[in-house]
Amino acid sequence: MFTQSQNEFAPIVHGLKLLRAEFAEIWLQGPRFIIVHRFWQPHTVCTPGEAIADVRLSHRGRAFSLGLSTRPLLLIDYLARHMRLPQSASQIVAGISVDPFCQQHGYYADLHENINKKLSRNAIKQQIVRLRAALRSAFRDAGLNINPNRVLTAEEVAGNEVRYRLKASFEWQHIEF
Amino acid sequence: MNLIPSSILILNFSSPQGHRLALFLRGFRMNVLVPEESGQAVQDLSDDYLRLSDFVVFDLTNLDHGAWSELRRICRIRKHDGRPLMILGVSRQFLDPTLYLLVERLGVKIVYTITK
Repeated sequence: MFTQSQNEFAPIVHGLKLLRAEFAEIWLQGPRFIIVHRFWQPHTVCTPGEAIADVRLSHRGRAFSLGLSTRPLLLIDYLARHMRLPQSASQIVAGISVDPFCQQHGYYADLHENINKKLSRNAIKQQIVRLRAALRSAFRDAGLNINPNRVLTAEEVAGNEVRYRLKASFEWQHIEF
Repeated sequence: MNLIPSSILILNFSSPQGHRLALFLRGFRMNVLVPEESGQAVQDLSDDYLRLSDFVVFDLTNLDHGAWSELRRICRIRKHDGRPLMILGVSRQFLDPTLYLLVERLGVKIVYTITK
């Protein structure tokens, strides 16, 4: 009798163990994202001149595109590269304006997008709102019941300032074209 | 099979099946509750009651409209610290692909069991 139950219910126990492991990973490390860089040059990794093609949420073997335009893509890539350092909107503006990857975005393919144009604190705040909306939509598509404010956090510091930080795990993939 | 003791709710199962599953899981020192055994239907369970459990094992075999609505409600619940409930959907027959995708989109992990 016990052996029959064991065979019958073994997938349930296995499923419960998988669920626990999956949720523990998401809770501790955050959801997993893949950032795709185009125009990769052989024998290099993430060099200025590549372009960000897409950011995808990876969950249960499937990828869900965030569907972002160039500026939010640059912002999420920048925040992902500086995950350990919460930054205010003005610090992000300063960082992006001197970051070689952002400044030479797409130069390998002659994509001369002037990303500094009208880049301001307010623009960053607006993009944060758009990023959260895109995250919410991707989480809904993936069936992840996570508040996007827990992934793109806003940490208040003394002196009426808010610092933004991503709490997630990222992987960069490179394609040539 | 080592599972850390947790609280599991078994919902929407037929009476003997749910009872046997509860007995089986209690063998792993898990705190298993079958509210339907005490006459409480899924729709009678409040969100606060559901929030007390870590896992929900939900039978998808005969998923009707009422059960689907309840499953959607359960999937939207978050615990007080923001964590969602971990929901395992169990079916004894293969689900229609459209239904499978709909259930998966709710965040439910689906497993199949075979009953002899």
